Amino acid sequence: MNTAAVTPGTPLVRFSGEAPVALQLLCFPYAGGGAQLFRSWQALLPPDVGVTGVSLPGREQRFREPPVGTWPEAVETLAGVFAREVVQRPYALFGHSLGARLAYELTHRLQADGHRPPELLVVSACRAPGVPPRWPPMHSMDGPALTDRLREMNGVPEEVLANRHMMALLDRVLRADLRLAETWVASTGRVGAPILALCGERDDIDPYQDMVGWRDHTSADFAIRSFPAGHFVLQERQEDFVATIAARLHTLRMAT
Amino acid sequence: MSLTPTEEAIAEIWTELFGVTEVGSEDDFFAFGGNSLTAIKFLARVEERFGVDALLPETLYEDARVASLAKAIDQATASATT
Repeated sequence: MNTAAVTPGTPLVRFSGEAPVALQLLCFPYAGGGAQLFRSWQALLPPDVGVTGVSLPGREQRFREPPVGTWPEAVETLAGVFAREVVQRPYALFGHSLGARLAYELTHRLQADGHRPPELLVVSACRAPGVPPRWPPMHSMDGPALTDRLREMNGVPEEVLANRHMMALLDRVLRADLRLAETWVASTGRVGAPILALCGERDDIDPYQDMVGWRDHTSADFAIRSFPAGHFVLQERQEDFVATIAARLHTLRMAT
Repeated sequence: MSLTPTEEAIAEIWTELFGVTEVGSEDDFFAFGGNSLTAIKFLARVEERFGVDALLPETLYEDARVASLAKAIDQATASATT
């Protein structure tokens, strides 16, 4: 596979069409996930909130590009894209698990660079900075152990887990993402943006008590909500979940 | 622009899979919302229609446009029958 010659694909996948929106909600997927995870969100949000999926190299239309290997590389790349294409207009960030870590680190970086902060930072299924992980790392597990663990987590469909050819194909990006998530050394200090933390009541990876600490990482409003779900709460309870984000955005007077 | 017979077959599968009405030769599987699960479903349908290994998962992920996929299928089925 010749990766050197690949032109980088578009990092921002917009689902709101051509019409201008009052607020852009940029969504960061979990490990192994792609921007298309958020396609269905647009219909669940008010029309003046535009949903954009953040597409990292190594997946979907960017499959041929090597996945991001390190935190400095990830934050640097994203900060460049956001400085060019996002911060000129009001926006909010959502991230799930690895995506929450990316959204949080990016918020710190944009703040340090003097850019417009997000109107809201939504962190989902992600332990607060400084809270130790409850499970051994997954990125170094052998193939069968990793598949078993993914099955327990209930986030990857059984048809995919049972398809060894497909699992082998997705292994590279999944492990790179898991490595990134599992080697996260969180920025300390507070972001200026309000934080909304969302979690699944049955999530044994990033449970509620590991997420309340997010309150110490914003100098603005903090709220936390839980849903009857596991780690993949965003899929298990999609409608309530997205409605909660919409309500929070509305309360913060960003959307009309 | 008219589609080749293989492109037509792909478009027909996508119409059903993604609930879209129109598929062009430059349309991309992932831009329609394709993911690993829909990839497996799509590949199964291609196998039914064109035979085993007519399209490999890695070929789909490398370049998921209708025209490229049709070309790959045509090449694979041509080499399988000669």
